[in-house]
Amino acid sequence: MNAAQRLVQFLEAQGVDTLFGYPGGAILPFYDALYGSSIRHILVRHEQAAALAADAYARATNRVGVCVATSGPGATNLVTGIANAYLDSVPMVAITGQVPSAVIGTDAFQEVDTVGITLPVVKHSYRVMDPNQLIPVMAEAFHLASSGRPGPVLVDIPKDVLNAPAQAFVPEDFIPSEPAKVEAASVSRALDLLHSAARPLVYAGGGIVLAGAVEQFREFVYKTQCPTVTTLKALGTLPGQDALFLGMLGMHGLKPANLAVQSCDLLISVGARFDDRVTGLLKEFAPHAKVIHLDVDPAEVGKLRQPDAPVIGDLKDSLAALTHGTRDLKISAWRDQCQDWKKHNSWNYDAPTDLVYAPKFLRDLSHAAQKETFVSCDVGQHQMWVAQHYAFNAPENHLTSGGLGTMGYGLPAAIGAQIARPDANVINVTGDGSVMMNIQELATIKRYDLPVKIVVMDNQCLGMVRQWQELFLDRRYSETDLSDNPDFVQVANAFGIPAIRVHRADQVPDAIRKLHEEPGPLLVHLLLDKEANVWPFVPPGKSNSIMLEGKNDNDTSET
Amino acid sequence: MTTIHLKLKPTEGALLRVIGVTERRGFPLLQVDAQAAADHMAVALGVKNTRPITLLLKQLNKLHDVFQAEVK
Repeated sequence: MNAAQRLVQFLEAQGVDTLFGYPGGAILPFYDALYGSSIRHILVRHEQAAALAADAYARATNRVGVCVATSGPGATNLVTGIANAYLDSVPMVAITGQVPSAVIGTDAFQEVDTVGITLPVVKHSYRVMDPNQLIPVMAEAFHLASSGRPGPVLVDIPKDVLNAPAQAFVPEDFIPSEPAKVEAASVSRALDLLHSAARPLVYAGGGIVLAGAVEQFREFVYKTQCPTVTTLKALGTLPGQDALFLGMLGMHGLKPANLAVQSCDLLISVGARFDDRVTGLLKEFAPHAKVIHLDVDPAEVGKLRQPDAPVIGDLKDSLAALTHGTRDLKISAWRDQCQDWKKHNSWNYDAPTDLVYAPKFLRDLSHAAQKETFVSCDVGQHQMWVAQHYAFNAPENHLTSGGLGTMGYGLPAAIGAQIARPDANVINVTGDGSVMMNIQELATIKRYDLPVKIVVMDNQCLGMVRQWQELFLDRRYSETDLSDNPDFVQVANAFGIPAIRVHRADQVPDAIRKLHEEPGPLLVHLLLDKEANVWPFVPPGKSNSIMLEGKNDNDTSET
Repeated sequence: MTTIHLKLKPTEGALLRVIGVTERRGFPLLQVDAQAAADHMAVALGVKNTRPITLLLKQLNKLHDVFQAEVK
């Protein structure tokens, strides 16, 4: 048996049932070994989509996503998807073919230094030169990708290594390392702070989801009854309609969330990393608060904000320990204050015109969901509107590119989620800029007859960039006009996918019904007002206490 | 200048990874010394202190190829 066949055998034994990839010369032995195997291979139309679909598959299932590409351009096309997984700590294994070992370093056809190119965006990487080392390396790669703080691991394999005979792998040869235990003393310090706080606030991050600790997180929040704000990636860790949930915080955070952060006297950061889009001006972020920081990655603790009580370790363990040790907190006045902010800052969904109003569309789309629904986003205004107005009840249902901010994520992500969860409804909410970044994947949707729904929010421009130009660059709209977009209905039809156009508010209810009920794929081309902006908006580099709430500078709210 | 002493796995790319992380995390390199031994590579990195060195040590100790990174 050659190494490529051993690799397929290993993947089957590992429980991998789906690969996303694209064949080519150097990876050909692997594709030959895959022929007739039990593993389902999803042939995308661009390698970037393979990595992004694998990323979403991993998020939707909490398993390792696997993508495959050939050497050279196949590998370089994967890079954006690998970086996306790195910035969002998604467990992924990327397998790339490499030119034969005898010609490595000679600028051979389709040769690039894949390990070198990906070094800064992987958790770890390997170039395998010994066929007998391939399977032990793969075992380690899967372990590394999914343990501790998850991330992408790349395995680069020269063609001759894939073709060479290889010994069978003995699983006992690989003994994974044990994770560090949570220290009781650190939990005790955190509990002291919690019990002495008058205005504690939970700041929830995507680490909760990656740790599979949503249940432990909810137990902690419900026992302490602490008001809670979340990052983009932690939306759904508390149900969207939960009374304790104040919304997403940060640059486009909801006002009650940012007000609470600026007023709290204890910030309990759970699997979050004080990202600049969250904190605004760092030195003025949660200025009155002591900080408890729970994280599995010691390098995140103290990176940007020095905590008063760090708790390092698996969030399932640290949250359970905190919940166990918590006494009743006397914080009803603080909770009432947060509820008051929430009540007085509820969103006005009255559409200002008979045009489609994106926040209302998304709120209504959310309320109309009858069964489990995944929403994948791209990047820009629509992404923020989804975060603000779609109520998620489970974080894995929200697929978004948080760290890298990858335009083009949404369509491949919808494919990955639909493959992972064939019975769920999967809707890609995208923009007219983003959808064009991976539009070729409509062919993948058609090929596998996936019932993916696509909402193209079309404002004929790169809306978020245009918004910055309008507010901060004297309306100098440099290269953000997209008024020469193709006809998206015709584009979808060309791929064999039905499509409808919605340009008035009174057409929305029927479109929403179709998005939830149509048995097959559907593209909804939703025309929006070009002038629509995302509010609130903390100007870049400013404190979160400064929230723009409208186009007029006089509308600025400072608290 | 602060000198960081590292013990690395003798694997392809280990030194590149360490140097890449050091520079990307905002610590300019002033000096590099590397010695290959039978079962590891000993590396001493002289870096300019622009940020707290503990932040860099945490990042280096996370790398799979790093047995140990410390300031002696």
